[in-house]
Amino acid sequence: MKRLFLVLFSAVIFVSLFSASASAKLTTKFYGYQWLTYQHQVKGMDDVAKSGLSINRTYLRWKFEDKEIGYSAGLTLDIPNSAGAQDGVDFGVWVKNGYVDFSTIPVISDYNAKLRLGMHSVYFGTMDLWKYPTIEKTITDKNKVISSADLGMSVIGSIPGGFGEYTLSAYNGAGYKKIENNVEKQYAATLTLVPIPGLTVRGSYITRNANAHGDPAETVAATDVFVQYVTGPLTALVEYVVKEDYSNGKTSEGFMTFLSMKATDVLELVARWDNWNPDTKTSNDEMNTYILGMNYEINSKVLLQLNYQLDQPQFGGYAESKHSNKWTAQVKYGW
Amino acid sequence: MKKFTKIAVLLAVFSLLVSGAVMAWDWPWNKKQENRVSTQGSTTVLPIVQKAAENFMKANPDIEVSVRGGGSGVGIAAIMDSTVDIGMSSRRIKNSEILNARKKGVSVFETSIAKDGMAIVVHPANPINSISIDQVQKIFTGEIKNWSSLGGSDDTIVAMSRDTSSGTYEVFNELVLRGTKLRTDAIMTVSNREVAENVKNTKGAIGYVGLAFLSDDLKVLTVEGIRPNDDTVGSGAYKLARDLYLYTNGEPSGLAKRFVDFILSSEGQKFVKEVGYTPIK
Repeated sequence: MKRLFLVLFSAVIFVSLFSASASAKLTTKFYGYQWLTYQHQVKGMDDVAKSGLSINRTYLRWKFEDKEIGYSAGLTLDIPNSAGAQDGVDFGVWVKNGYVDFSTIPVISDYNAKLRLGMHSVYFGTMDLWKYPTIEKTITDKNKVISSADLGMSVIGSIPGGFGEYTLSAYNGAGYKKIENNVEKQYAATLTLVPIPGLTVRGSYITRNANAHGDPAETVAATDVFVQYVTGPLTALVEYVVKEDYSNGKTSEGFMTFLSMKATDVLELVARWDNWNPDTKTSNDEMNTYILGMNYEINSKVLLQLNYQLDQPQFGGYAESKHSNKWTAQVKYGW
Repeated sequence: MKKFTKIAVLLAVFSLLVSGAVMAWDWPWNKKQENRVSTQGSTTVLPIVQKAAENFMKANPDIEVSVRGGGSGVGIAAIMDSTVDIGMSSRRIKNSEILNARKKGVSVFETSIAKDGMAIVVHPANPINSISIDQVQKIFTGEIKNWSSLGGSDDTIVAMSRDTSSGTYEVFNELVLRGTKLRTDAIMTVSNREVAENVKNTKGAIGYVGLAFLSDDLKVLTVEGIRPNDDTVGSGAYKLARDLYLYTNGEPSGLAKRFVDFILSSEGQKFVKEVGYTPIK
């Protein structure tokens, strides 16, 4: 059954891509990004340092669109590539996005919405919106609350007047690197409201069941709320997330605060503070993360990012192995 | 100790950067009056704004008005990204674009500056004089392939369309195609001018262009018995009509307001007519 589901899914995407490519009105965009990173990290009291220059990952992206038939599709290949001297070698190619959108389906399109099928972003919190103003991932990604992309289907709709949007999704649940592991089912919903220009409020809920028979004791659920305010050169964001794992009775929670200021047309200064409590029933295990950095747009295709990141146990000492100082310089370039 | 030294150095560098940026920042309250208005967007709206800009700059030699094309989508994106003062569009802004703008703190304000009739044009040798919207739809979906089906000569119909990213196409899609699919052999062009050129030079051709692009080398068909002109477009009797828009971040202010007001003035509306569109005042 699982195999049949996957085969049918792949067939829909494949047929759609090929039928659309036969259309004379299909527009295709091909582009990509690469990140060249130098990082120096010092961990714990012993100053265990590691330094490395790496091209951590490459993204290759294709986007197809045919407005006449209300069709679009996307494909993203994620090529992680870490070959640091200390870490050994780890190569791979992942299909991070492979989806098709239909915007003319009756009923769905009547509500100003579209249907997305295939491998696509998991809509939750800041996860699908984060454009990496800091080199560090968003708090939900960093602490593995959810996977960033998954196989499934989503209804993506907007509220008239530009007041917001919503998503309703059903996913495989195992993440884009383990799609064959099709026993988990994940359902997600988000509601984004923009009551006044610049103010965005989003609430998200996701539930995943690791048991093929849907045993409630195997459920993992997470809730996220974030508020973002943009005014002139300033952007401020606060996000709160809580995750409950009923299989082990563990509750994790945390928040992320982020502030950025466009100092000039090409220079942005950023600051971030995260607090993450992996288990609310365990004392003194919270972690703080502090980031200061800048983003310098060398030109429209090349971005230089400099970040200092301090990961610090809230109640631990300097000696803790989790304590880390990271200096990172990264060049992101696209084509 | 080493850790604190590093943090102190970083904080000092960051503070310097922040304080430098704060001093260098062009804060709204001490912003100097720049003598420049930038516009970008629709190639359909561009002739009006170009003409108005030339005359506005003549009357105000110390003010520069820059006018760039790119299409309606580009003009609206430029307003969302706050890279221009005025975005030009031949279609109304979409809900998704308003949403993205609002997320970025931009409150899009719409000003209608003219009306345009979308003229259905054919090769001058074509004996057909009138057409219905349904017939135009059937031609552009490929259901009607020969002019003889409409009482014309035995010539294959060659359909000329704008590219699907243009505002003109989106309006044509909404008013004529109405959910049906454009024929696969339609020739897609990047501007109104190119459609006009192709129709003029191709026997059996049919296309749609804004009124500003009509010439004696093109034959204009009446649509549902109505010929597009200022009266019929202005009154709404001609069904294939649309508004042309300028978009700003909030109500226009400062120089942008002076320029928009100039286009809406009786003098500005004369330029609208001069370039071939229908004044709204």
